[in-house]
Amino acid sequence: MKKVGEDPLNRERKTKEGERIRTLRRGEESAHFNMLNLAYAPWGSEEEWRRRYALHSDFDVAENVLIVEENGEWAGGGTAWFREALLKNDRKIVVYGAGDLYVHPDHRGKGVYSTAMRGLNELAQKRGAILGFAYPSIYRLPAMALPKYGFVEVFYPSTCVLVLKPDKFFQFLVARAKKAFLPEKFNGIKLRLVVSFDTPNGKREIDGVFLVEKGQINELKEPQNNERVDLTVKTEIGVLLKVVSSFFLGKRRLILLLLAATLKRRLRFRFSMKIIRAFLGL
Amino acid sequence: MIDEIIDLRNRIHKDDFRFVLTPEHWKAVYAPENTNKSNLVTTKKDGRLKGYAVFGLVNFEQIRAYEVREICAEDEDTEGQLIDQIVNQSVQDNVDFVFVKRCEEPYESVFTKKGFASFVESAVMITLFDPRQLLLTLSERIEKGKVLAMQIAGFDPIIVKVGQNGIMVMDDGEPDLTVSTDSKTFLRLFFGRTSFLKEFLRKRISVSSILSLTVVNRFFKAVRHDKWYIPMGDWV
Repeated sequence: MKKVGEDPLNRERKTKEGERIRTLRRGEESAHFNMLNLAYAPWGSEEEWRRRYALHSDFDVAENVLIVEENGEWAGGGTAWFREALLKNDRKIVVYGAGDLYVHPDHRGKGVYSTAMRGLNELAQKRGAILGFAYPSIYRLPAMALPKYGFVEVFYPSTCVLVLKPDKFFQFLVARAKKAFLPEKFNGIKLRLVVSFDTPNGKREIDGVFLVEKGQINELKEPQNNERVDLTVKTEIGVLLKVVSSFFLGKRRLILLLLAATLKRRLRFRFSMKIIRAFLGL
Repeated sequence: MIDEIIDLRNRIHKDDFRFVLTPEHWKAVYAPENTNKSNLVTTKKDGRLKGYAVFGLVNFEQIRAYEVREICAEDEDTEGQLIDQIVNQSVQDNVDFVFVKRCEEPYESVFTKKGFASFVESAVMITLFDPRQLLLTLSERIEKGKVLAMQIAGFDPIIVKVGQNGIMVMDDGEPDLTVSTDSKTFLRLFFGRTSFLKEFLRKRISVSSILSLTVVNRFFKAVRHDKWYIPMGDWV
């Protein structure tokens, strides 16, 4: 459907000097897989690539995978998966899923993501898609960037997780937390986290001490019990996961959750004046 | 087996907004490494399929996890049995954790009962390219009704006749009223995330004739999809 005036999804779509969009060429599949792993650090296994790219029906890497080049260098890209969706009257519409958008580390901050995303939307419109879908993590940048390309948050699927090996899961969470950036005001804060897990093999408690440096969380090795920290949080894994996600879903939700968990004694914390000053920005 | 799986899924989720799934497609996205007992669990009664779940191994650097790509069950007991089978398999295969991203499905509490922690980690974000075609797909023959011009910001107005229980997109016609909104509000109403009245009071929808609010309400009721079913395996 032709839109009134300028196309809002693609209003910044101007090919910059030296920038070019093309589709993946046959024979470049391995290079694309390596590029995804380099940009996502890591993206996933070869089996997963095959699932998404090689075995997927109605999918052609030479038509659905876009590459953005900057002065002839492979700078980034993205992929469009086309599907049919069923409406409540059992009639079908064409929809597309945008995914695997990436930017080579040497080309970040140059608008490559934007070019790829607009390229995917253009491709989708040419192929008759009526709706476009994306499934970003709420913790990552795309969830914040996608509204610029017309995407709105419609559903929040709940993630259910059963931890079988608490040590490994804690390690997984720490690795994810290390990728997050905190405001500078939290630099120098030392945090102790004590998390209890209810696994099929019984209860476990894991303890970690972290220091915020240059906006990043770093784990301190072998914490001592009497080590002085600015904030101690003791909780269950379920509550911790809910609290972290509530940071991204609005203050009201976060406050209600903190209150409920504290009153039920499922969340306990002790903090120093340094924390209050950091929160108040003093 | 794949045909039975697709039949069950279509029966359970017949009214939901969902993607079309052919046997070839199912095999590619749900069981790419050849379906076998290690990644497909089923529950049957008298030879009839009552539920199934598909899961696959994902590696996060040194961490190994089972990602449940879909779990589909006729009733709560079946869902519980499927979860037990997945957990047993996970313990046997020595994975570090099991996770599933749920659509708004029934039996959510079964996961909690089985010791799963639940939280929000992802969003399904949607963009609207062609509202006219979308409404045209929902369109049916309507003789009597009020005609409204649906004006979604950034798109041409769509002329729609609103009957008692349905809508009909028209090529032209003099509208009795104009309804204006943005694509975000339209999508949230289309997918049943909010109500017309709420959005009207929040001034995210404007209606040219206040006396025709019931007509606008009927329009959104006719296009609204209350339930959605896009399990994780369909996220590609």
